[in-house]
Amino acid sequence: MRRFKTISWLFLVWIALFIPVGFAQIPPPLPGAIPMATLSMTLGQSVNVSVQQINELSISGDVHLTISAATPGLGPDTVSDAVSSTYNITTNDAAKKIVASIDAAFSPGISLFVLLGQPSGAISTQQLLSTTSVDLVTGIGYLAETGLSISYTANVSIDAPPNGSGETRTVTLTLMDN
Amino acid sequence: MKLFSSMALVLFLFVGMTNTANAQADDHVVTVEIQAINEILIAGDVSLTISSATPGSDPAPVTSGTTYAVTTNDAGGTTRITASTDVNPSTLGTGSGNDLALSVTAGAPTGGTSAGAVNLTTTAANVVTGMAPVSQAGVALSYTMTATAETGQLASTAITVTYTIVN
Repeated sequence: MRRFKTISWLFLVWIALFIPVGFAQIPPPLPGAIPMATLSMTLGQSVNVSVQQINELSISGDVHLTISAATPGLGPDTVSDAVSSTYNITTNDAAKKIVASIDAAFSPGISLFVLLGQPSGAISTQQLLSTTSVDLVTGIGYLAETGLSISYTANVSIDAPPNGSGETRTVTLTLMDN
Repeated sequence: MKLFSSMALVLFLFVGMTNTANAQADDHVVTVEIQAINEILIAGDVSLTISSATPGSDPAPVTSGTTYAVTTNDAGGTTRITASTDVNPSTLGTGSGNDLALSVTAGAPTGGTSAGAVNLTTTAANVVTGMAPVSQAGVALSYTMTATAETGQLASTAITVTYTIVN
């Protein structure tokens, strides 16, 4: 009797352990999966992707502005150049701006203004250049554009004397957070 | 400890890369050249007609004027304005006097000095000297013509007066 009881218990345990397996739901195969003859196998692979913040700005061409004339009775004529130089820009971020500065001040009486071509959706403003950075373009976001104009305008007062081959300054454009 | 150091280095490099990406710059050079500028413009032509005299005296001189505008950026202190004519006025007239005279008094722009009344001939003469850098319009230019009885008569004749800014 005791032996029968033991066998019964073992039988119940066997049922508890193996019968539910028979009713377990097997997930349907993935589309395109190759059915295997005897076993079903799932292989998982993790692919990590990332796009980092990209901010690129480049300038092509230098500029030479020559002031050589005036209307009699008035100061020297203003001179502009909007074709000698262009810039390219790429950013995959929002709320960027371009600022500009020069490496050293011009002699008294010389004023240099710059206006950048307006990238899509941004706002450009003409500014007087100095050694302190000023905002030229604001509201830049998610764009890649080439050949945008850089327009310089030089103004000199009558007190600014002839300066030979001219005064050269380095203009730096910086793409940065708004 | 070694693992911690390695992680710190990686973090440092990552942060550095992130900061680099936040701002990006490029530059180029811009040259502003100022050449010597010397511009002068006479506002209008002038007509002078001598037509009367006090009995017993030579014909009365006549005066008429215009203005000029000037711009110069020369600061050397030697800039001046000269004037000359295409014909010597003294050679004009039907008489034998050879004494028709045309003079000009050019007002001085700020910083310059007027030479006063200057007899005009085919030889350039200073009418303004010692000019400083200036841009000024409406500066007076006054002509006076004198003749004597011996000058005779003169039909309307154009005399071209040329003004030159000399540095």
